[in-house]
Amino acid sequence: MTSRLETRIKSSLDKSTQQIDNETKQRLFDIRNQALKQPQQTSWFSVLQSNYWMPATGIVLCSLIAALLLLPQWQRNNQTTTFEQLAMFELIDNPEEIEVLSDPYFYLWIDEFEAQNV
Amino acid sequence: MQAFLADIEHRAFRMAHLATGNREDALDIVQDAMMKLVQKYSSHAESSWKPLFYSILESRIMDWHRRQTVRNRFRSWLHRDEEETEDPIEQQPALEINHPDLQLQDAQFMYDLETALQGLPIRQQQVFLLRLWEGLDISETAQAMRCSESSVKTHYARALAKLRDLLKEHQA
Repeated sequence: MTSRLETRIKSSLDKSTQQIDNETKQRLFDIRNQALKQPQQTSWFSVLQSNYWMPATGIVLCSLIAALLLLPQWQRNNQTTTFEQLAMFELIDNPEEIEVLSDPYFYLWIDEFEAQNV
Repeated sequence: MQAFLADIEHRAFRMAHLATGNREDALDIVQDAMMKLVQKYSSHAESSWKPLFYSILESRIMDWHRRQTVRNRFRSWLHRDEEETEDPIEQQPALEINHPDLQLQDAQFMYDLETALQGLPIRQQQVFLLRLWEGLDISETAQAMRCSESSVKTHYARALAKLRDLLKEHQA
């Protein structure tokens, strides 16, 4: 609850602002204009509060969709390459396969011979 | 922002003037507070501008008092007090009293009030002015003064008790 004294003090202080001299009022007016003309700092907080996040979210979503579309294709290509490499490696690594390659007619004859006897 | 600053600039100046007793210093303090508010807090919610502005103003006033304390110590050490002391009466803004006969009592009260306010410890003075004059609530005042709500209540009660004592002849 505000007492009579507090009310009177408030009223006197209000009156005192009306009695500020014109020169000081002009100075305050100039100070205000000068403050309003200066550039404002953009903080991270204000960036989050502003509409900057809308285009930023759009770019992020587009990148995500592109990544989701391109990733399976890239994986498939990568897998094919891996299988070919493995087959080649097995071929080089397996000594029997090298023998087959070195004397194919002999092994063809064995295949035919075994087929006739079976 | 323009309307907000226009609304508070006269009260802010009077507060700074009561705290410093010097018109030029009060104008500098108000300028600093306005500059910082516009530069750093324009994007904040409008409802937060008032406590933020008075927080900056209070901080500048406290800085001014710290500098003044150091300067006064230095001056008293050099025994040069009399040389550059400004006349406090000269520093007071000119009061435009249109009806001296009607307003004599009010003018006397205002003079005594200013003297009493200037005699208060600076934190008590600031809390009292923010609560009573600027109408900040306890939590906003605590935010502006960077102190607890209970400190605000204590400062305010002490300031009011002192003013009641100093202005008792006007309360008849």
